[in-house]
Amino acid sequence: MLGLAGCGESARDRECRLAREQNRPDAAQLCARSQASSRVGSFGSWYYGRSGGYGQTYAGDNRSAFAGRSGTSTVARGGFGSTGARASSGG
Amino acid sequence: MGFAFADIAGEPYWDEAAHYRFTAAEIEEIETATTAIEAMTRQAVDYAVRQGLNGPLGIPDGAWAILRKSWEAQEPSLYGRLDLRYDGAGPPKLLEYNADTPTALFEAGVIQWEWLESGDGPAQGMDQFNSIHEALIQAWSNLGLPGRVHFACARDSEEDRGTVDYLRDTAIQAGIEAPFLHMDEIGWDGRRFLDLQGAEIAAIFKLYPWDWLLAESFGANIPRAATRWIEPAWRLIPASKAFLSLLWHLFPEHPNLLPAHLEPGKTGGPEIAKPLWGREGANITAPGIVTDGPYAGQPMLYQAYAELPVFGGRYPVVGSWIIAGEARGIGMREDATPITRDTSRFVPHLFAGE
Repeated sequence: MLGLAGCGESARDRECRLAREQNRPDAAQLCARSQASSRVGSFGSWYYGRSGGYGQTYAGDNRSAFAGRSGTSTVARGGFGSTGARASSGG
Repeated sequence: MGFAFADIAGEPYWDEAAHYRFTAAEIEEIETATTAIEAMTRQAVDYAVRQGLNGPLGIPDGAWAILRKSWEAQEPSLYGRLDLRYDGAGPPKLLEYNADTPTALFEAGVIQWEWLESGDGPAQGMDQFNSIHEALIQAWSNLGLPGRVHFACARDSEEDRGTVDYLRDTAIQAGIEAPFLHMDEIGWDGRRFLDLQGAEIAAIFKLYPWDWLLAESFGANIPRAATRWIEPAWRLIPASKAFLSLLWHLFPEHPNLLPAHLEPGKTGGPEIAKPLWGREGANITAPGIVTDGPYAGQPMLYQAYAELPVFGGRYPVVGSWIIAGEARGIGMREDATPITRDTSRFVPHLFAGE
């Protein structure tokens, strides 16, 4: 049976509606996307143009750990866990 | 009971010498607030992804693609904990969202329930806002995971290991095979993450923050592997303290939010300053309070300072648990100071049922 989209229903709204009708586990997330998209444009700049400068809080850009080792059968270990050895992860 | 961290650093952590007693209406108010905050969170995450707000959130460009892909793939979340200020007089207020690596789960889901069930004093005939354990078991079945999920955390933290072992137990009860390894034991063969037996890690629950994962040398391999991560990478967005200011921007004057900004002096009153990636009350500045810790030098979030209420000389925080997107219970932490630390005591709660 074909479902009829509501008048003016966006693709995201439809995605949300179908997920709810089918009782799918991702319904909440899809509907959050749908609701958020309806709010776009109604807000001013949250961060007052401060888009730069915060991105270096921790490293992580443009690294290539073990790049070029594709296909090798060597298994490297120890690439995770170094931060946890000196700080608490819980919250 | 397997509660190996009832004492932390030689001090009692689990404390049943006292308990918090709520009314059914108060519990309903906390549950309603939790549901509302979770809905706002998901809307704000979507807004942040579509607007590319990684810079203000303190997330590097190189990590953003991983987070965006995770959100757009709608990778489901297992769990999270809202820390709420609640005095029973006004609405619950969100202090922060532990969206990535929340702990105090075993004691909230199991130990305090056993306290209620075995109590013959004040707990007799009372109820508790707590379906955490059942919700976790149910959630594992709905995450679309393979039949084998690895579990990992850092070495040398009894609390982290206890939390991971508890979650393994809930996964096993859901029919999932749940081997454990430490974070530094995860292997990389150039294409896949591997366990100590050389088997591919298809899915992994890690009690290890995403900001650490992405900063370490194997972090660059994450987008190259097919491994499914729990919590998913998009949880780093609400885990940033800067997210609190985005919530306030998108939902100004919401009764369950406190004014929060990325710059000082904008809340119109006393403020608490928190490092964007701080944990467990470290490097906090508030009126009359300065804590130390390893997060000095980070960008700060400035939130209206709402001092915690005081009951019996203790300052309590309500930890409100969200399992698979739904409010499922609370755990109370209290401290002799207005700042909740990793050593703050866990105290059980109850409420009078209908």
